[in-house]
Amino acid sequence: MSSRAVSKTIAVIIAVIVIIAIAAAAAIVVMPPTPSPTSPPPTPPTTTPTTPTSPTTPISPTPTEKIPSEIRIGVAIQLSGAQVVEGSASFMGIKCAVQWINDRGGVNFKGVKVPLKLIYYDCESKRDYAVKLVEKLITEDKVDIVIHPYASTFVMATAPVTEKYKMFSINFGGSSDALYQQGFKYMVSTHGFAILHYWSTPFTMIKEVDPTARKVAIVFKDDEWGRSLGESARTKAKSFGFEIVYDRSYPPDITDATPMLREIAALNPDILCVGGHYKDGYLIATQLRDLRINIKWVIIQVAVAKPEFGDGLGKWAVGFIGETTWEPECKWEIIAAREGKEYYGPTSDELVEYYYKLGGKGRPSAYTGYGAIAVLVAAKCIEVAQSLNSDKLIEAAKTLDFYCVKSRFKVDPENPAKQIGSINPVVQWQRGEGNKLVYAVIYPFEFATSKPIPMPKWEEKEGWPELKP
Amino acid sequence: MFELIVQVLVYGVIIGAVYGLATMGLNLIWGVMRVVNFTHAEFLTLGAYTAYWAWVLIGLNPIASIPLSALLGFVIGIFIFYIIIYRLLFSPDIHSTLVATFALGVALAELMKVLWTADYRGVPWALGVIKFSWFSIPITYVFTFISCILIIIIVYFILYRTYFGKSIRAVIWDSGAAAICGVNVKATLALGFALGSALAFIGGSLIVVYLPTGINPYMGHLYLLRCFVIAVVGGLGNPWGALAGGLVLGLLEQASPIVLGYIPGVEPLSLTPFLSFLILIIVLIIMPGGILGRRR
Repeated sequence: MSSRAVSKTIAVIIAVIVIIAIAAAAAIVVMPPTPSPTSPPPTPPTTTPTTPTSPTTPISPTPTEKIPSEIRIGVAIQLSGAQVVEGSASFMGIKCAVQWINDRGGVNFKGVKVPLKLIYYDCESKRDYAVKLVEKLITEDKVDIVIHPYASTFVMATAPVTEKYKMFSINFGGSSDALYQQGFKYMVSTHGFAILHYWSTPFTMIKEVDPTARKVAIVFKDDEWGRSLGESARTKAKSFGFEIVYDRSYPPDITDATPMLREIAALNPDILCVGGHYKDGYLIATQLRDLRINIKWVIIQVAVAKPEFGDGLGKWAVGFIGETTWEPECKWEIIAAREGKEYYGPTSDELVEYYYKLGGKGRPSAYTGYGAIAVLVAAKCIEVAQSLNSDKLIEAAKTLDFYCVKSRFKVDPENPAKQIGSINPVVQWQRGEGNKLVYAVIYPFEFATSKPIPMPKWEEKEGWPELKP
Repeated sequence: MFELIVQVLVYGVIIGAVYGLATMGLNLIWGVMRVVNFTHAEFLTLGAYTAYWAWVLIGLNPIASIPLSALLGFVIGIFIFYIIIYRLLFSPDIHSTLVATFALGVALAELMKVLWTADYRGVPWALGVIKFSWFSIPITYVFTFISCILIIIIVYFILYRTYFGKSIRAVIWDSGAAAICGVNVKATLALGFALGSALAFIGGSLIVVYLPTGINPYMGHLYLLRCFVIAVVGGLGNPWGALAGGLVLGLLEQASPIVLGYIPGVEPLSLTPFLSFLILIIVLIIMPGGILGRRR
């Protein structure tokens, strides 16, 4: 063998060894460590009297069931990875609600206050890992109730596990309509769904403040979420007696909406409904500005409800309307009192107080409200069922109809995975005093921080100074 | 109707010029070295990020960031040419450059994700509008269009009035004959690749003006498909063909949603890419070399 051939062989052997070493090192680094359950430090029960009352009649208690020393709530949630923002904010809401309940002694269970214990894992925004963790929560940690991770795709993956073990579970962050069409028997949803819940509140508001508004243009992203929003807008617009003058989808990877917007402008609608995600919603908002298309009411789901929308557009954001699921300004206790319904759990002000007490930074986002309602519903179901048996808990959930920090909770008695009570507040970017850009809650009127205004004309905004956030 | 046609023409030409410029680099690289540069998408993305960071860090608007984009694109192009492309250019397997540029593109996209996350970013640059009686054009669009024209004139000057440009054109026509005539083919190939890369970077920077919040590590792929259509329709290997193809696609994208809107049950915006590729096939059948393709 020539020396060149020998050196080639050696080179190949070295290359193979290096590859194996890199693969082994990568496996060690990438392989998730065996998770150890984490639980927040237990809070000693206090003697503070429970403020909320529970008028809902408890289901007959199970006589053989012992009173536990703690009720274990299991969560596998996105505390790192792609969905860390949503997961962490939701988890803050979960922690706040647990703390609020424990500060009041715990959950009423057969005449005794039983504290909640939160057992949680970081699913690293990986669906497969979330599935494993939910199974671990049920089989190893023996939790009594599971709270699913944030987002529909995750719930779609973890719900079959809770169903397999007939474990009572709560979906707080999945809003795809497909979720309640799966026949899940042990899952309750607390979040509003696209088809069921969107557009009702902005349409109600517009009907009240501008009865002359009649013509509606609907555009929606051509994906599952966008199509649901489009279908919902179509149905609701008809039910509100609006005339639909334009109803088209746009591709998910849209980079130019100007041809569509020009067509819409020619039809002169009073209301423009846009259903999609942040990127496309923002694109449409900027191109409405660039083409100087003036429409009185422009509702963009879900871009408007994001702070980046105002940060990016500045004064041009004024007038855009969106729906949100929770804001710190929401005071559903007022609506509950008006309707004569029970209000359970912390008020928004209390939740915000707990948020900062537990280390929350910045303004709490809607996700904090998402997380809080999950725990409140779990606690309420236990109080009504007086049992930790999943069958009894799900029966209890079907009977509940109450308000809490994130609007109303009521599920379809035939399908508890289908939330039917949730109400979305309406928000609008406005020009505040001192040339400030203000993010205002404009509906329901009972706790609105400002009155709704029609979109100021673009030509009018041109003369404004830049607004400070 | 007349008003609508004028708007379609104006916007179609403006966006078409940017598409054309974004494709010129791809066409030039194909013309000079017969390499289908799949990294073009990532070059566009890097150009967009250059404009974004220039805006965020030093307050430069996307047009003012063009020299920076061009310089970065040129340097990165030279580097990639000598490290990867040149080593594979004369490989017996003609697919090796294709696979290598594809792999490099994926690697660059993932690197961008690690560095800057997959979040959508944008440059909120607005200067008001020029208002006509029935429609308006953002001033930023007008500046972008003027920049495209100026860059195209500069590229024309480089290709037709400089020794380097003449060398490139000679290599495009016949690299063997060019070498016999004393052209340094290796240096010409390197500079050709670098010029193509710089044009892609510039294209990416200008696209930012039209995409208020779409900058992310994978955005280039939205435009790569368009670039292929433009390149083939305009004429592969001919930089001016890219401009012609860009104008065709720009006008098509603006006009087709309106025309298709008259067909019941059709979603016009979703059908536009289908139309683009249909036109690509028709052009290939009728004029296999593209509108301004080289005919021998």
